[in-house]
Parts: sequence; structure tokens; C-alpha cells
Amino acid sequence: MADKVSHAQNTQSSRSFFVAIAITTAVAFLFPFFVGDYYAYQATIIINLMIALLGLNLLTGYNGQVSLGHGAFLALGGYMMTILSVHSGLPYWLILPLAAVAGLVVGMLFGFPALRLQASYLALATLALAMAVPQLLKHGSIESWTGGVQGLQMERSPAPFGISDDKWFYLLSLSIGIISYIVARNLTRNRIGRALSAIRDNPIAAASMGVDISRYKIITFGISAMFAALSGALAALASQFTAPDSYSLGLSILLYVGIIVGGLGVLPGAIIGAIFLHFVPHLADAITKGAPGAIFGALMIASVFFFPRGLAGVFAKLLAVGRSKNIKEP
Amino acid sequence: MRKNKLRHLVGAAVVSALALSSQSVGAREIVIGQTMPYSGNASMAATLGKLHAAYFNWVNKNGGVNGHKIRFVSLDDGFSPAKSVEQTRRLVESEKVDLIFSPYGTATTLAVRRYLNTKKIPQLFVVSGVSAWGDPKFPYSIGWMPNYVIETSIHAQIILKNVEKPRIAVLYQNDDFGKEMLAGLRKSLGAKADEMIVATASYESTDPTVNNQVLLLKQSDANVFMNYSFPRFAAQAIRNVYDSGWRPLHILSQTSTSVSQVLVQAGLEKSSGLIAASYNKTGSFGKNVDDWKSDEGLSEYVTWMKENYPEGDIIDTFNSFGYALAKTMHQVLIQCGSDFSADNIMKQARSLNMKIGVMMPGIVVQTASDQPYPVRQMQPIKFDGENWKPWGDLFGAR
Repeated sequence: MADKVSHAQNTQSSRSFFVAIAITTAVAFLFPFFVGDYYAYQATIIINLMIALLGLNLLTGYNGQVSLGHGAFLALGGYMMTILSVHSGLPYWLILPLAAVAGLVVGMLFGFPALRLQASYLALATLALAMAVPQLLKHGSIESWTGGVQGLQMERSPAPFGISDDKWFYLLSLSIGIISYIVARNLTRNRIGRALSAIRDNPIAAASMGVDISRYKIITFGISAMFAALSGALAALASQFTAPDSYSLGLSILLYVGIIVGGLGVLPGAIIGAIFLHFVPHLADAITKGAPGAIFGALMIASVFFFPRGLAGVFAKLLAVGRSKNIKEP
Repeated sequence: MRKNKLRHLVGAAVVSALALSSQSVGAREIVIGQTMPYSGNASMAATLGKLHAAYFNWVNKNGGVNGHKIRFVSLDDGFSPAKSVEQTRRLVESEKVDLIFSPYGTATTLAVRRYLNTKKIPQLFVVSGVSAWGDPKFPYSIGWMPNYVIETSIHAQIILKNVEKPRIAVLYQNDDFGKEMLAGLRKSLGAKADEMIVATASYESTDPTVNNQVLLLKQSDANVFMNYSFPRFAAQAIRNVYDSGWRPLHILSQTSTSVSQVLVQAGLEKSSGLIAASYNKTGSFGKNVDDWKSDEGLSEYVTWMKENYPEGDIIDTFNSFGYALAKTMHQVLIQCGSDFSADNIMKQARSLNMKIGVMMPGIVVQTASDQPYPVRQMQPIKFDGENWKPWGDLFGAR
């Protein structure tokens, strides 16, 4: 009996869940037509950040591999976008999947040595990657390709259907963002997701249950890097510019901050983390010009202190409270 | 006395009549935008933005520019080009700025150059030393400080004037700064550059020391040593050159002329005799601000700082530099009259002819429709063991 009730409850709540999703999606798609181009551009940045955080959350939140170097994969995607469009003239819609594949391959290659490293050592190795990439990008031998320290500008074909570029690239990012979210959601909800969490929680137990740890870890690294590269490519496309200083060590650390603040191992955490990363620095800058970094740090610590499960955890809790209320009602 | 008063009254009446008649367009606010690294790797430059905020406040307190008040919006870009794109768009599309003034950095400003030119928003007095500012393809962008090409052109003139048979050794940082300095020097020395430059050595900004590079260069038996390095390495090289017993004509890039940051670190005695080219007067005065009061131009700056930006460090060259930038901006707005259209702002920014007290005597901030580089002159200076002193005549870029 109790089972039946909760089943009915579930179908009802999942129905209302889908209605809510449908409305949110519709609003998201129509949003740029009601606001100025600048806000569409800002939203594009947030979506691109979210895609990167999704990937990092899969890796760190679900699989327990700490990466402090995801900025490097963003740089990979960003530079593929600008270099290929400047030097080979490929259209951007072709470069986007290429960047994703490149991210997957490079990520998997990095996943091999990562296998041998325990958590804190992996964090150091990825940190080294993040430190090296901006300098490598400035290196003289590839300057004719990368534009060196001054960066590289790209042209892109104008938006179709007579809408503005900013709106068009927002819609493109939004579509790719939604697909990425669904992919990540499906990954975490089936056998693979359970294997990933098992590896995170107890690798020995996972191995004895027949989970191929190496394979899963490498694949996760690849997919995570793929999301990051895609995010980097979309961001470069939106701003039509890449430069080494856009991918500083700070960016990699901030991405990590984003998933912790948003919520480790909870996918909506990526959305909340992206919003946090985008708006809190603006807020800090508005509060003081003297030490915006200190304000940002304080807000970061406050959010971790008050919401240890991440801001997404707060929303989950609110939802859960709502549900239990529903059940109690006669 | 009475006559004067009367004249003021009449003047005030005329001004207010004019203001009334053109109120719809005339009394509008001037909105100035800026991106600045308040956070991140380059936050030592953030004092520029704070000084500018204080400067425009001061202008407003004194009645504004031709009756127009200024609204100054300076946003943090964390020295990231990606962030500066976003913040610049916010300034243009959300804050509706009339112009961007003194944005900081090279990549951060190149990232938005095309955007601003497409939108026809003046990008004025960019704080960047590369020669890209002045490119006729981007008529709404203009730099200010002497770029690396201008500085090296002046170095070349100093060498050719003072050394009979120059054999030049160059130490440079392996990045856009160092490489553009070396290329500029080579170009300025002309056809015989390859004969004159007998040795070059570069270092990475991550290297611990430049000791090996200096010893290598010493072996070339050069009589001129170009020290194109950033402060920490410049100090090391000064010490290494002196300790190795090598006594060339030692020329330092302006980036590293700070007495406290570089010369004290190297040792004042070992720094004695160094040569540099400078446009900023403060670099040639010691650390004692009281000495500065003897100089009319500097004392104006010191008084202004104490009254309007007391939290700013007076001997920080960023501040005297920022003050000169603000003066230039102020002058452009005054010249604009009441027409703050992008084209008029650019026209005025390209017809400057002014002197600024914190700059070396004789230096003129000058532009023309076909000459987009505001500061093209520098004064050779020599370090006497205590202070930088002017050394010979002012040079202009050729």
C-alpha cells in the first residue's frame, strides 16, 4: 500500500518535474528576445562555464579524481576554435565537434598517467598542467599559430535567421549546454554512474565487484576533458578571441571552487556553481576596489561553511522538505 | 577689482544662458568606462583606477568639464582577456559609456579593440607598450606611453651619440616585451645593426637567475650592455655585470628604473653610472618627497595627491603616470566643448599639444590626425649613486 502511494507520488512528482523542465527550457530559449544583447552574452558565458563544471563534477564529484588543471582543457578547446578558424578557415560548427573529440582524446591520454597517482598527487599533476599551459601558449616556436602573449582574434560567419550574433550564440550554447546536461545526467544514473561512485567511495570493493577501475577512470577523464574543451571552444567563439592569460592558473582553481560551492556530486551544482563564479566576482568588485579578492574569498568561505553540501544541496533539501510535506497531507 | 568681478558676472550670465539654451543636449553627463586589474596578477596597477576615480571626482567638485559632470565606471577584469571582453561589453551596452579611458594591459585591451571600433566607442590612452596602438585600421583606439619601438629608437640614438664603435650585447626577457625591445633596437640601429649587436641572450620569466646569460654576454667583449629585463632580473644583471668587472655603457629599460625596487636591490654603488631613457620625472627624483617640492610640476602633483587621493603612495610611479593620463583625458574633454560624439572625441584626442608637470621638462604630449602616438620623446637619465639625473638632451623618436 505504502509502495503504491509513493509510486503514484513519484509519477505525479516526475510529471510536474517534466512540466517544470519544459517551462524552464522554453523560458531559457525565449529569454534573449526580451533582453539586450549584453545579457544574452552574459548568459552565454554562464552556460559555457556550466558545461565545464559539469565535466569537472563528473570527474571530481562522481569519480573522486581531483583536477586543479581543467583550465588547460578549456585552453585546448579555445585555441582549437581560434587557430582552426584563422589558419584553416573551417566553419565554427565543424570545429566544435573537433574540439570535443580533441578534448576526449587528450583527456584520456592524460588519464593514463593519472591512474598511477593518488588523489593529492593527481591534484598536483593537474596543477602543474594548469601552470604550464599559459606559458607554453606564449612560447616563441608556436607564436605564429597562437599569436603569443597578445592572443588571437577570429572571424565567424554571421548569425542566420536575421537574429543578432549574441542571441544566436546564446541559443547555440544553450542547446549544447542542455545536451551536455542530459548526457551527464544519463551517465550518472545508470551502471556507469554507479561504477564511478563505487570507485570514488571504495576502489577495492569496486574492483572486487568486477568494475574495471582503470577503464572507467580513463574514460571519465576523457569525458570530463571533452566537456571542458567544448566549453572553451564555445567561449572563444562567443568572444572571438583567445589569449594565454584567459587560461591562467586562477581559472583552473576557480572551476574547482565552482563545483565545491555548487555541490560536489550533484549535477545542478554545475548550474549554481557557474552562476556563483560569474556573479560573485562582480559583487566583490562592486563592494570594494581595494581588495575584491578578499571579499570573494569571504563569500566563498561563507557559502562552504553554511552550505557544506554545496548550494545545490540547499535546493535539494528544500525540495525534499516540500515532498515530505506532500506525503503527510491526507 | 570691480571690473574683474563684473567680468565674472557677465561671464557667468553668458555661460548660464548658453547652458539654458542648450540644456537638452548640453548638460548631459559624460560617461567614462575603464577596465582595470583590481584582482589577479597585475593588481599592483589597480592604483591607476583609484587615482582616476579620485581625479574625476575632483573635476566634478570643481564644476565638471564645460558644465558637464563626469560619471566614471571602472570595472575589474582580473587581468584576464576573457573577463575584459565581458566587462567592456557591460560598459558599452549596459552603462552606455561615451568612451573607454586608460584600460590596463596588452592582451586585455587587444581583445576588445575590434569590438570597440565596430561600435565606434573611443578606446583612449591604452596602458600598453606595444606598437599596435596607432594602427590606422582601428581609428577609435589610441595609446599613450612611448611604446617599445619609440623607447629603443631613443636608446639607439643615445648609443650612436656616445659610443664611437659600439659593440652591443643585449639581455632580454623572452616575451612580447623583450622581443619587441630587441626588434625595435635592431630596426633603429639601421643597416649596421647586425654588425653592432655582437651578442644576445634571453631568459624566461621563470628562470631563477640571469647569471649565466650575463657571463655569456660578457665574453662577447661588448662595450654597450642593453638590460631589457623586468625588475628582479634587472637588479641581478646590474650586480652580475659589476661583480664580473665588466664596465660597458649599461642601458636599462624604463620598466626597471625604480630606485627602490631595482637599484637598491642591486646595490646603489653598483648601480652608479647606469643610463636609461625616461619621460616621467618622478623616476629621476629620489625617494624623499620633500625634494620634489623644489620642482614646480611635481609639487602640483604632490599637493593634488595629498588633497584628493591621500591613500595613494606618492612615489609609486603608477600614480604619477596615472595622473598624467588623467590630465590628458581632462584636456581632451575640455577641447571637446559640448560635442562628446565619438568622432569629435577622437578628433580632439588626435589634436593634443600639452605639457604635464610630472613629465620630464620639454616633453610635449602631442598628436595629429596622422600621428597617433601621444608621447614620443624621452630624456636620457644617469644614476649618480643616489638619484637619477638628466643626462644630455631630450631625444625624440625618429
